[in-house]
Amino acid sequence: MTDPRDHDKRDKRDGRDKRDERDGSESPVPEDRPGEAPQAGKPGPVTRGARRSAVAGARESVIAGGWLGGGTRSTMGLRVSRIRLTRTGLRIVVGPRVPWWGRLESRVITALVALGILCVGASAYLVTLTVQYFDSIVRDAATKSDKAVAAARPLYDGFVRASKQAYRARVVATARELELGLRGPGPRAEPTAGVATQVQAHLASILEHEADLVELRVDGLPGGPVSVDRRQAVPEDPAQWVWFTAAPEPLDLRAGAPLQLTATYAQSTDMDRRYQALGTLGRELDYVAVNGTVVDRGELEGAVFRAIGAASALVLLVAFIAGFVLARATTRKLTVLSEVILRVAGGDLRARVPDLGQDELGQLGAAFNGMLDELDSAQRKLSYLQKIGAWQEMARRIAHEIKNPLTPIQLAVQQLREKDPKTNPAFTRMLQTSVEIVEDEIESLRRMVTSFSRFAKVPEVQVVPVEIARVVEEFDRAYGHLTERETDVLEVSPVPAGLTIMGDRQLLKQCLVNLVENAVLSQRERGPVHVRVSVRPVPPERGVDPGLPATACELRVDDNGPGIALDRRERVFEPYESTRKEGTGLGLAIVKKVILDHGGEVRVDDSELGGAAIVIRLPLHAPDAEA
Amino acid sequence: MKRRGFLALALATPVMAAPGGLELVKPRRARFEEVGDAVLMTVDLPELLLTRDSDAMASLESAFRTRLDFEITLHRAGQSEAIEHGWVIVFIQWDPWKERYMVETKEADRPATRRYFAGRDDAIVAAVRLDRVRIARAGALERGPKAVYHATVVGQRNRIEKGLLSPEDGDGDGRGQGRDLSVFSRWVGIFIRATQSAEKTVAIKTSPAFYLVAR
Repeated sequence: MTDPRDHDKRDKRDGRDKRDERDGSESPVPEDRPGEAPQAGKPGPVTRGARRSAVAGARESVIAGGWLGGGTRSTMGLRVSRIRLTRTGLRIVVGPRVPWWGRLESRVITALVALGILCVGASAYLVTLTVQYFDSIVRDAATKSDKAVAAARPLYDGFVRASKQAYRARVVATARELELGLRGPGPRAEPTAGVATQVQAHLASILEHEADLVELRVDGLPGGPVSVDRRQAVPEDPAQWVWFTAAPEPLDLRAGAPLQLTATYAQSTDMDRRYQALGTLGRELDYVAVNGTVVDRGELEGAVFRAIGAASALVLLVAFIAGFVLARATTRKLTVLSEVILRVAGGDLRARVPDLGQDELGQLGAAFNGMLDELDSAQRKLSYLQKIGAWQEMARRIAHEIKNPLTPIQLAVQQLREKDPKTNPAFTRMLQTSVEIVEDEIESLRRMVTSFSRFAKVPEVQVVPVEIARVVEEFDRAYGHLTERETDVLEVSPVPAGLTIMGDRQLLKQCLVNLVENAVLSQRERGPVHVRVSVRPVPPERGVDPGLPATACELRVDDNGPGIALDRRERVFEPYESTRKEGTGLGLAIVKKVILDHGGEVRVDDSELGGAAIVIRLPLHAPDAEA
Repeated sequence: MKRRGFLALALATPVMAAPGGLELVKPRRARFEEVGDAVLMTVDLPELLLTRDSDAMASLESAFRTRLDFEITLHRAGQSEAIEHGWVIVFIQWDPWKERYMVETKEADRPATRRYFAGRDDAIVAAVRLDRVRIARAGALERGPKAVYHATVVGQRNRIEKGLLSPEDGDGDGRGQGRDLSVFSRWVGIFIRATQSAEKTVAIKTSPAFYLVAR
């Protein structure tokens, strides 16, 4: 912790020094501490050892990695980058600015991004494996389908071949049937002259019984070929029928010329259509439809990989932005904290952490602010007590120096008055007047010296547990008369029981007397005096459980005087600060010193009575806590 | 090579190397005739059905019907707007019953014609040839050497029917995973670089161009 006197010294330095210190363009090291790291706020001549220390400190800062995330003040590339706790207290190490990759924010974001890349990459890899796995399954299925289609090809070919053979067999059978029909039962006979007519009739009969016959024709008859057909009934149409003419079969009718039978059959194209559909399906096995477009399966696989890659990149981008925002929100708080810590380390005890929310960092900031408040208050108390101590020493010396010659002066004056020969009335009158003037001034000086002596001899506080009610009661009993005037009122409110403090009863009573006398003196010339003394426990502060017991009490002295202007409310506690002609300005200073010695506080407030209120806050005695 | 040319080549390399990327339109010599009021074109696209394409030949010899679609567009030189559009559909198929190849040609505003071939290669040559196909009305074209025209032919073998590939049901569910699948399908669709519309696609541009002789 830095010495407050250092701050005082720093405050007295000229502006140039302060600017240099703020800029951090120097690495001042006190001459008497050559081995220490440079300390902010303590400029001095830069010695060789100091330079070594500064370099060492800078190196140390770089090695340490600058955990505070960079400094806040920069000039010539140097920044306050780190605070180091040494044997002699808190030291600010000045070093090069922490690079961006070394900052906490960058590290957190990098960690988040790395985590995101890891997760997204792992997911993308798994998805890729899944796609490849299922694609291999689909490819296997397609291969099998291809094989099935390939297997169907010979089947169709076989079907056609078998059908042709069947048609050929049917032609043979039809030829035998025709021979039998024309020859009749019994021994073979020559065809009669009207054989063409008979053939025609037989062919018609056969055609009638076989529905898929398109045409039957017998060639070789004397009158030319004879045929019957139903071409109109089963036209050759790729959508319905295909005609197949089987090879002609010779007829054995013992005619002069060789006869032969030709048959044409109608084959349904239903099987052909199915076969063609199979071919179409086989061709399209390699393609898939995506979003209304047809693509090759390999292209689809690539597109899926690209889509997954793009989606992963998108997710990564979103994760990066979200991580950046989240990390920024967290690290910003740390940055604010570090900045405030650096300012405090630089001596600015007024620096406070802004509200950082309700999380742990917010609580840390609030606790740090509380600590700073305590530190500030303690420092101000210490400073005041030191100042009062100095004033007391001066008052003691002045009192001593003035008090000693006063008695000889008074004796000398008395001798002058006694040795007056009274021969000359005018001289006697002049001597009497002079002596009275000197004696008045001596008395005035004596009062002042007495006052100085009282101020200088304010005893040390000797605290014991005492109920504040007892202090007020004794004060009321001793000083309840206030003034001789009937119109003047001293009102002492009832004091709540159980408010025990660690205090010096006599000095606290003296404080009450001082305050009441001040109130009376400030109002007496203006009219009736009304002074009220009251005590109340201080309720718990905001944010603290209201059910907890009070930790302090307030002793108020209200008056109906002219009050104290806002700009004087701090100064009235300074020694010799008074607006009254006859006042020494030591009463309130003594009060504040005593109260500070009690660990309390004193302030000026507005009074309900119209004047000023001096409010004394004293911590309550907690025996349990002490135990 | 000059620096600029080298730079252009370097920039164009990824485009040319991209699988399934741009299909370049190849120049192809064609014959044009004016018969009556019609301008007829004869051009071959043998790349569409190559005899060394084993899969295509296996399909053809397995009696599967092979469909060839030709889209013909007539442009005036220097203009991107088409003057005429036309189409020709050719089916080529082995007929196992009659043991011959059948080539059926359908043309806009014309009845279908069928030709039969005993040999496969003859059938293929006939199928990939646009023989005296009407590409424009002569009266609609300007005459003279200043009015130069060229035709663009895009040939596709076994065009893929989207209807056959579309899901029958289930994917249209607009809730839960169905909706997510639909969204993901659209997302994947964004990253598809090359769509497939046919087993094979060939695009040619007639070169040299032609003009109608002034009368």
